[in-house]
Amino acid sequence: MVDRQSGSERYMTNAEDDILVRQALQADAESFGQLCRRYYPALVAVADSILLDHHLAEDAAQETLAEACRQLARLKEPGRFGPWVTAICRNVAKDMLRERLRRPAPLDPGAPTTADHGEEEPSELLAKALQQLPQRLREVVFLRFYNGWSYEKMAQVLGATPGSIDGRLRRAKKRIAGYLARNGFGKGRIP
Amino acid sequence: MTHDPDNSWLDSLLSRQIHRAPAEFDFPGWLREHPNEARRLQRGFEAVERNKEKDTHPIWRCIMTSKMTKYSVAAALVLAAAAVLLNPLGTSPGGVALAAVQEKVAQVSTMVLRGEKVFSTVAEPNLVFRIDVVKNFSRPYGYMEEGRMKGTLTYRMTWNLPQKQFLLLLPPWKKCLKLPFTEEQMQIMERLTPTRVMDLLLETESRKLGPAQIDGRAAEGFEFQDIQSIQNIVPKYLVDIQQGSGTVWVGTKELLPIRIEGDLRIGKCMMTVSADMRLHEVAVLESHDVELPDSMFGLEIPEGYTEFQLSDVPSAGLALVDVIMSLSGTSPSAK
Repeated sequence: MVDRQSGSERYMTNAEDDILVRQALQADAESFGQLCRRYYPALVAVADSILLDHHLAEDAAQETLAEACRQLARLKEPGRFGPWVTAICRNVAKDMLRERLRRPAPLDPGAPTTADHGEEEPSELLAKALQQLPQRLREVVFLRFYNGWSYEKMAQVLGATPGSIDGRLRRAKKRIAGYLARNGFGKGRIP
Repeated sequence: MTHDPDNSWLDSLLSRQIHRAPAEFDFPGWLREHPNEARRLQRGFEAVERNKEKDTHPIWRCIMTSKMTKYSVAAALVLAAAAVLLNPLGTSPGGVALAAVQEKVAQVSTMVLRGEKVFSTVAEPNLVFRIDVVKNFSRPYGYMEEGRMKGTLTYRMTWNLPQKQFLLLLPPWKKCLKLPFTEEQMQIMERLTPTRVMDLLLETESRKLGPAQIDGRAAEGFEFQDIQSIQNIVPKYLVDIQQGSGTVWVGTKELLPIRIEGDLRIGKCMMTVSADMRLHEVAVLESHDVELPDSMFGLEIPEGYTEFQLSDVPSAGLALVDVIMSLSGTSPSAK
């Protein structure tokens, strides 16, 4: 029986996921709950990296788990639940993003604009720097800094090696640094 | 300047920008929000896979993207409501020789059910609308339902299968709505047949009530305390089924549902003209495999009727309910 300890901090292994998936398929609902608790924070981070909206990201993560539940019997490698559910999450979030883009954005007359301040705040610039990242790199940044996850845990979610995670993270930060520098916020100017 | 190939100076910035408190997952809450998935988890996947749960969302996506737009939606709504609200040609849920019941239902060519629908608003429980209903189902010709209030015919809806057309008549207003269906839409409607809807009911938990005499016939009863599986058969903005329970009595001799009772709570939606309503419905099997003439499913529009205009749809909501409202003098469109 797999330990029921909850929380995303617990180290995840393919073998445990394998067991939990198999138990869930045998009407052990709590095993699925355990999988949900394990991966929910990562799913929110991944969805947020696409939607750039934390509340929508939570909705996307919840829907992702529902879709995963519906599709669980089709998962061929139960030990790869993490990468599989993350892939579902990307699709769900992209669908939500497309839906949001189809609707005209409501006007918010009270929203501050760049012109109001004359110069962009560092946080705004950093947000733009993140936006201009390719999704594949932005996802790694969000996973790393959302909950402070280790490379090993990120690798479990993404189905990649810690080395490749490290490489992606370096490239992402290089791009961010370049963007900031081009916009007058080099290393020395950011508080 | 020190060399920093990792750009680690960005770490604290990114952490401040992105970091969130770890998201806690509320599994019990999620189960409540996702009853179908909860059921799947509790039953195990093998049983569910055997039943091949139907995903109704693509059906409605087809309807909503149809060129026939609102008229189609209105018609679909009426049909879906007719199908959802306790039609008989389903199967008995897991009791008296289920396979035999299923087989018998599949062999039935016609059924006539008689009963009533009692609507009441949640806000004013004493405001009650009662409709006497007759449902006629014919495998070759389609489905026709009539509703009467105090003996006055208030609606007749006909789904004519051979002609692939739908007709809604509203005698109190002399209004009609006649719609052809494309092949695709026909397929959609066929998926919304009572049998298919009752298949969804099979996925719900039921409790055996044991043997009883129902209208002088030996029967076995099954009680559904939760019919959430049908909640999503139509979009919530059209028919928002929030809660439901029902009882199906299967005649031990006929091996057919002989009496169906249901209680539904329907939230604010088009069907209820934006009111929270309760619906209690009873349908009793009057006959089966009797001859129902094709004229019963005719699509002739009586003289003097005018077309139910597109502009009537938002003001009337679902015509059926609007008729009810209008007869009590509460609907503006009844003036």
